[in-house]
Amino acid sequence: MAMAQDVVAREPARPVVRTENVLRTGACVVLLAILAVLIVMPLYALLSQSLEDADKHFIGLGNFVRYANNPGLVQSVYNSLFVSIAVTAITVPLAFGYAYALTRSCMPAKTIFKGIALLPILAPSLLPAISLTYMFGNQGFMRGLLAGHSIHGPIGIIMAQVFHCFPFGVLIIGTALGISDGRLYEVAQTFSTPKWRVFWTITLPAVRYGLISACFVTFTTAIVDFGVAKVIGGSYNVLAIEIFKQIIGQQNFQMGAVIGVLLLLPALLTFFIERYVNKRQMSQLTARAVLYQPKPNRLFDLAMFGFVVVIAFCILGVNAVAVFASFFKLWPYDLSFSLDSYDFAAFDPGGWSSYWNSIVMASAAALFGTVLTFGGAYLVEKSPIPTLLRSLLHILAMIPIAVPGIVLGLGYVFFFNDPENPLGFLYYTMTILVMCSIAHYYTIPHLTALTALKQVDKEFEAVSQSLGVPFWVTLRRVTIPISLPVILDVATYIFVNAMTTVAAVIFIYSPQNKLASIAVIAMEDTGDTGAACAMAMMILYTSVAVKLVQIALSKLLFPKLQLWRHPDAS
Amino acid sequence: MRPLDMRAQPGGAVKPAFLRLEEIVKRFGGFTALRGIDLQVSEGEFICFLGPSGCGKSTLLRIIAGLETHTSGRLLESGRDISGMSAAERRFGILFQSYALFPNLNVYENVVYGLRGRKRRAELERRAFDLLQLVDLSGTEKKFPAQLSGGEQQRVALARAIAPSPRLLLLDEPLSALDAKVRVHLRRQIRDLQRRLAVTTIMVTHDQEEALTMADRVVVMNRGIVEQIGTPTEIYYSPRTPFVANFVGKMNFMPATLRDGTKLGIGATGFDLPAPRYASADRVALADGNVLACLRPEHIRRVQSDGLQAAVSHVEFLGSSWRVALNVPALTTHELFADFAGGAGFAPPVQAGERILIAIAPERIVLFPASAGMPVPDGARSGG
Repeated sequence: MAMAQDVVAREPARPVVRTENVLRTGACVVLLAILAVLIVMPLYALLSQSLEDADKHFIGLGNFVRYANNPGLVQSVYNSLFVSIAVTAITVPLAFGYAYALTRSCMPAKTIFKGIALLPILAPSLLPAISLTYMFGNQGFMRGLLAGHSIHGPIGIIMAQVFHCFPFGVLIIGTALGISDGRLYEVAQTFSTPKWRVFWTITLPAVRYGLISACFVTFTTAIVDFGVAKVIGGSYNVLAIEIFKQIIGQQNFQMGAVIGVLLLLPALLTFFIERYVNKRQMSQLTARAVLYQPKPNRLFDLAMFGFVVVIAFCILGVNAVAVFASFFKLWPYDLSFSLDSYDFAAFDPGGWSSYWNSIVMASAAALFGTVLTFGGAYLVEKSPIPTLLRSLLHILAMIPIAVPGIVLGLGYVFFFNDPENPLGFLYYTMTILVMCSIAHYYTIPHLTALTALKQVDKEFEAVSQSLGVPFWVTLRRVTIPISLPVILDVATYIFVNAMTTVAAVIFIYSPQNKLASIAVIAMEDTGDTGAACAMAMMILYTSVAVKLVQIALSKLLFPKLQLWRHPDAS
Repeated sequence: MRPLDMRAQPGGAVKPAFLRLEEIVKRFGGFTALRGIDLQVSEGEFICFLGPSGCGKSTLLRIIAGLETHTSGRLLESGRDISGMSAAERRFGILFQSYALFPNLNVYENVVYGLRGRKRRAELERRAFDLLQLVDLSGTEKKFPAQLSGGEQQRVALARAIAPSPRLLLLDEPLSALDAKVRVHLRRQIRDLQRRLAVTTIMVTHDQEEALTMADRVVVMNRGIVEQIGTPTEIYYSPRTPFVANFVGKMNFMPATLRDGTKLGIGATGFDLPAPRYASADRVALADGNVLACLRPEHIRRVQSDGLQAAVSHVEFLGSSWRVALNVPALTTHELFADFAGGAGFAPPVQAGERILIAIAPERIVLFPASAGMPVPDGARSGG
């Protein structure tokens, strides 16, 4: 038999195997070193700066004491807390109502309304701020509605933040509402339980973790945000603005570092609560649970639809104002069509180059960020690397989600601007902008890739090993091809976020590589609101276009995927 | 427990040990999954690891494959220690419960996955053609796994596993995910293929029927130890431990006493055993005193006269026979189970509440020392 000859002819492949493990462990060490530079060192620089005086002498908590004794600075803490609590109190109920309508009613056009709710994610956070300035500012056409109050201050900040935070709330609460066990409702029905009681005893308890999570995410997003407060805050001091003032205005690095450390606290707290909540929430849905299917109810569906339409109108309205403002001379007073607002060179020395810089930066971040995050997730999930390295890699990847952009950016200043740092040559280059963007948005892609890889049969690696096929062959021929939609998803996420970020890059851009989002602030600062709208809309158009391309690619290029995902369907 | 490896194989000649496991121990942190496993596998043999979930059978298979490393002990292939070798170096064929077919590669690409780069394309195609013919899937080369049924997918996985002509084929619950009908069919197909290729095979299963129908020898495992190694009939009719007796098939347990080696007293009834029983594989006679007597339900007969009084408490239809629960005060206070053929027409052989006479054949009784302990009734069998 031919098979017997094969057995004799084969040689053991000992050296290849050693190479494989060395290769993967080596890749892990390299990635750890990269993450150390991208994430750990800047944060360390920030922390140590907050404990040192201007001459780099260790003074313990002296800076913090000085901070607590400065009434102006303490006021910014109160202001930040007030604004963030108000934003949370408004956003979460609205998001709950919206998500409830999307998941629990039979209202029409759910997909479209879900898309509208998520629209603000694709725009820079300062887009609603600019729109609101346009509407309610000193020359705003809706100024009368504020009854004499100024939009520049807490009112404007809160309104703009609600728009900015709304999609996160809808996403989180929508997920929680979406995974409720339908059988509980059927049981309630057999007992003829009144609707309000079902809501209090089944619906709310089931989504309580989602609600908690939404509250903390909203609160943190609001308290660490820089862009909105910069544009619409006027003289109202919040923490992120205070950092900016301390660093740019007063060159007081130590005090900036102290505020940065303070801003780490809510984000850290949110991070741990999120983890706790996620574990609890997932355990609610057992494999046997039946997903809840809403039944038509005319009155209820109509009411929910009405609510959703009002909210969606506000979201579209805020974006539409920016569109109109960019296309008309002085909307709504002078309705002559004009592309003047898009002639950015007339308003800002950077001109269109800011936009192209953003495209280059976001593309590079998407490319390298995807390689790093997917590679890292692969090493964590699919490779026999030492447990210590594996855990370290995962922990480093989890840190960025708890670090506000402005804090990370500040860390980059301290770390890369240090004359003793051999990497100092990167300061003020495009590279450092790419690095900071990757670091800032590292966690979500890492987790996304990790989840996707977990769903890939772990026996694939075992089969490949037993067939004597090296890991890179299986990675290339199987793991990457079946993960392509996720890879595309990750790349899109990084691109869109890198396009819109302000906070992470405000300290480290240079005039030569000014970004679109920075240009928006600059033009808004000089009172060129129309141009600022136009640039913000350019960011939004680009993000929407990239998102649409991603959706189209996923649908067109991977039709077989549905087959792969549901092998039992045939 | 000592392995029964000195026995002659069915067929007469003593074959050389192809695979030899010596004192294999596996610890996961504080948990000991395998507590010293000894086993010899002959060339061409079909071995089944049988046991409840958590008994360590899958862990043992993964250790043999090289996917896990054992904590201590030795693993010898034809006398050569392969403990330190990785799965890639061992190159044993593996079949998983999940099939683990690459979803983005078609059947042909899956089958030749382990052969690429070692052969020319024409050779690959011929080999794939032969293998697919072997597993009855000719003409499916261009299909994707998702377009095949579960049974077909598992056959593709089988073709892929045997493609590089492995010296040893390892099957990890390969049939568990399949429908009952497909399972029985594939059972035979795997067994036929294994005989034709004469490839040494180890299969892990928690399904006793699968183990009894397919294996040359069954290794019954429980809590990280080997309870018994033997042919399916040995396992079924001569269980070595109460666990095996209880795990494989249905068994009645009755406390009893033994005198003079052959005089057995169960309850108030005396039996004369035809020959002394042994306490272990070493042919040490079972000591007198308290023992545990075991009897299969099919070895309780209904008789018309000259039998023990029995009251029927419950009757259950099994399809090919009826399982009858009996109270036999002369033997034990526990309920006994007997399998009877059906009565006239489709009627049950007896009715609940009926009083009948039964007889048991003493030579069918299996004895354990009472110190072996009564197994937990059926509890150990639940769970897969």
